[in-house]
Amino acid sequence: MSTASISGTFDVVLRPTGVATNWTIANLGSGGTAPGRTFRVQQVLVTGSGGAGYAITTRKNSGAGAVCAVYTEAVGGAFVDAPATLTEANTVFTATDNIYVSAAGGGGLATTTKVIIRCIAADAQALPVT
Amino acid sequence: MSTASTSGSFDITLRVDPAGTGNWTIANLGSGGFPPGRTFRVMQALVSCTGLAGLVVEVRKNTVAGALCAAFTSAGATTDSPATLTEANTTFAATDNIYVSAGGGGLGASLTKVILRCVAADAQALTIT
Repeated sequence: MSTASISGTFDVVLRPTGVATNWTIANLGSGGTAPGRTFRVQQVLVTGSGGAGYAITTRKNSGAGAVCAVYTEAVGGAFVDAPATLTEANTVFTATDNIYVSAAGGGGLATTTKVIIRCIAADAQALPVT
Repeated sequence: MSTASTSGSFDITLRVDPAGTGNWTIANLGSGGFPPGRTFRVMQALVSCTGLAGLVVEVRKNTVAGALCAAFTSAGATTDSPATLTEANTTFAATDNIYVSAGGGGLGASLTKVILRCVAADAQALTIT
């Protein structure tokens, strides 16, 4: 019997501008490209600047959702593609989970300019072979 | 204005079990779910086969008459050996199927696996609220 399957990794990239401090990345499960199914966050990389204590948090669905990853600026200043600390127990998202990102603290000039969420699909999807 | 997008790479793996010769059409690529559902490019084709030399493996668009994406002629049993890409034919539309054929070769020359390493050709916008 011949079988075919598709599996993959993908990046979800948030590029914030303006003064907003929380963002819900929706539409993940609506078909098109990734994921449309369960996926796991492998790495979160953040770029921005802010004072010590500036924190960028990635959660499931809402501000009350399980924390997937947190980056806290230790000394203040600019950071580029800095890895956030993952909470491994909360890295699996279902196809219908949205990604909620928030930023707080760090003073009035703190900014987030990019969040890269590196993901892998949790299973291989079967494809028809004829 | 803030934006969000996805982009990604993925493998399409055809497994032939038991190993054999013949042709296979991998369909349903554009039906949603995981990638592609949109234009993608084949970056690498890796072939695994058994038996003596001379097995010819081809990857084409849609049918046996379709544009040749990758070709491989075995020198004996091998695992994950790269096929030669025809760069001009590596871009598939979301509705293109993938056609794989294997034939010829010496005693026991049979295809066991083809891995197509692909990358989506563009980033897909996601909604931010």
